[in-house]
Amino acid sequence: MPGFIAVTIVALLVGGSFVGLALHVGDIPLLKELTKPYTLSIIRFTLWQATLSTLFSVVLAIPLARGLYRRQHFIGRTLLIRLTSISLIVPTMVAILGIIAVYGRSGWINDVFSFIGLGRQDYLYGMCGILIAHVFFNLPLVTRLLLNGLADIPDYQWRLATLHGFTGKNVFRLIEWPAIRGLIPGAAGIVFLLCFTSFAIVLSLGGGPKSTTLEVAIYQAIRFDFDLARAVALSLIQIVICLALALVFFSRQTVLELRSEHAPGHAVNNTRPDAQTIGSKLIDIFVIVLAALFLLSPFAAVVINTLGGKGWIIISNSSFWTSLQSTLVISLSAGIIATIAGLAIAHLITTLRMRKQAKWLGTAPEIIGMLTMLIPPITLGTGLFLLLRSFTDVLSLGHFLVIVINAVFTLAFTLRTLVSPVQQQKQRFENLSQSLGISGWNHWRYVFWPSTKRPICYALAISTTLSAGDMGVIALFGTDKLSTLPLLIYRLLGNYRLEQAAVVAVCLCALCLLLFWLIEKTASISPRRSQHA
Amino acid sequence: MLEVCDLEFHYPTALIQSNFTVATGNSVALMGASGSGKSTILNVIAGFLEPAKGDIRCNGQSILALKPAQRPLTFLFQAHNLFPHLTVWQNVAIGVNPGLKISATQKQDIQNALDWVALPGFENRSPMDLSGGQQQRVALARCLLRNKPLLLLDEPFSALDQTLRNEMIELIKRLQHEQRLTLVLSTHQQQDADALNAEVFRVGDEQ
Repeated sequence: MPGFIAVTIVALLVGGSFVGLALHVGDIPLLKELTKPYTLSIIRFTLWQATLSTLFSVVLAIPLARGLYRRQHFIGRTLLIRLTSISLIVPTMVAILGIIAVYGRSGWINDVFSFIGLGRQDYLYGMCGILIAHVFFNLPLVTRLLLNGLADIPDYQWRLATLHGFTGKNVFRLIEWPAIRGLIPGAAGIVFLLCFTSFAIVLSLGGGPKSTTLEVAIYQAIRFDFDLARAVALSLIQIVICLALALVFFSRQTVLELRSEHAPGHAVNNTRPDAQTIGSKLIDIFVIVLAALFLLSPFAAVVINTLGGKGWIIISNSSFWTSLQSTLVISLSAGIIATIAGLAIAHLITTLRMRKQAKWLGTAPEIIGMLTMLIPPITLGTGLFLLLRSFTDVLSLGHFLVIVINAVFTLAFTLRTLVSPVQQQKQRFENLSQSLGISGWNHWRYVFWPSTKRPICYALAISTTLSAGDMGVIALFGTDKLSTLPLLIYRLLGNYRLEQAAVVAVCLCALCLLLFWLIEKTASISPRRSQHA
Repeated sequence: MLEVCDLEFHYPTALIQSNFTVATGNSVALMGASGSGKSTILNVIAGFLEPAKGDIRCNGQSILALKPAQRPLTFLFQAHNLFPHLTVWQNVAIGVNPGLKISATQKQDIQNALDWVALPGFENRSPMDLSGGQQQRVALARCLLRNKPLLLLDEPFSALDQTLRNEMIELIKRLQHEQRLTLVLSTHQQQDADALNAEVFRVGDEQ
């Protein structure tokens, strides 16, 4: 029952957003909007930057995954592999700030340039910055996927390679490439969609109308030009293109599995014929060191920027504290809603599955996850904005809308985490509980919570941290009164207050880590013993 | 001549020892229960495992310092001799050149080897479409092409039924005869040893 309610609410939100968009379709000359040269150039740029980002992310991930797999033992390997999943949850604005601190006009790279007498170069804003940031976020993702593929190579293939004296080139062509080529279309598809709908990165690093994507153009149409017709038209284009892309990429049902923590690999090194050559060692060291520098330097730069002490003045500013407060309220509320909705829907899915009513339900979490990529936050927000505008002052509902939209978008993650644990605990305890007559609060307290608290807390931790780092929704609804830490970073960057932004970024990261840690900790608190124990 | 001299390999809970000599063109069967270390000894001879002590000599020269691919031997495993994602032809050709750079004469050799194991016309098939017996024959064709004086067989027939087993034994005997191969096989069936006229060494009895 709660599951139906949750599904209905999600459907109403998404549907309402569509209605909001659709109600306005009649008013606008869609075709005229579409064929404007500026619109076409936006579409072209959106596709082009996504293509290049995908290409770089995938092509660079291949040697990195290969090197990480070939070198099973080096200091920091576990850390580097951990880092490949951290980039999924690190707040976008923090990474963007770090990238500006490394590559920007007064960044590290330019320090080197001016030191060797080349002078400071303006290269970051525009395509270059967008590509750096997209590769920063997606290279780890692709690497992780490919690493899983490599880890699945059975041992006997290495034995055959050794027996026949394969060189590194032979190994790649005959063993590694066949193992990863099947994963590449799916990985590239995900990366392309992520880059196609990328918002915060393009907004911060695009640097002007020449490098604008559809997402950013929608945002600008609403927030600056207040050209709603244009926003609707662009949203529709966005949805249509995303749908088409998704059909192309995922029609072959690529399985995308982000396996958790396990650092793949067993003792293959002594049986791999190509691991000991000097050439292969040099290549791997080069690739791994470069990747580590690329992935770690932005974080290091943020931290170093806080050390001067000048930035800490922001803490005395009231906007910092109100942003912190909003971030907490929004992320925790969105996280709790997403987790409760996730639990309810997980229950519904397992109940229906156990009754064998519909096979396709098995893929429900994936379908919902896909929807969140097809209808990006900005588009959903735009729809709701338009729908509610007729009834009320939308910006006064800002808090509420930001929470709800964030909850919808993190639902994909909570569902993914919760469906199989809920199913397992049902299969194990349902009959027992029923025969003992345990239900309601007692069932929750003695059966459900103890057996499922770990995934529940994990889901809550993930959805809370993701919402705390959100920049898409808050950018659309943010006002002077409503700001979160990511939005504050963006505003400080706009005023060239890099050091203050760095302090906020460190605080945001600390907040995320603290929230994550506290929530995960809840899972390990042992239940209060009853008096008889 | 292959000499395995006082070979020792240490597992955390077991010690594997072996000591035997085979003359060129003859066969040896290592027999013992499962887990007795038959396969371990083959893997040490092939170079996949490093012995704690002892030496392996081929025609008087120690081969311990050589990498597996440089040793004068080839190996037919119990199963998983083929890459499932390569074609039959590619699987055989890696025995000639792992970069798959094949000359015209080598092409003819590959053709002949596939004829020899009675699989002509299977070049472009996937190993996954082949029966277990056919897969072992493809692997044997590759052994033939590698043209090494020593052939190691790790329970080569245990996955095959009686008819296929006899077929394989006939093929291996012909191969041994034509190339004057020295055979070392591990098995737990006396009839395999008998069929290949192999001298039997027991493994793991002393423990």
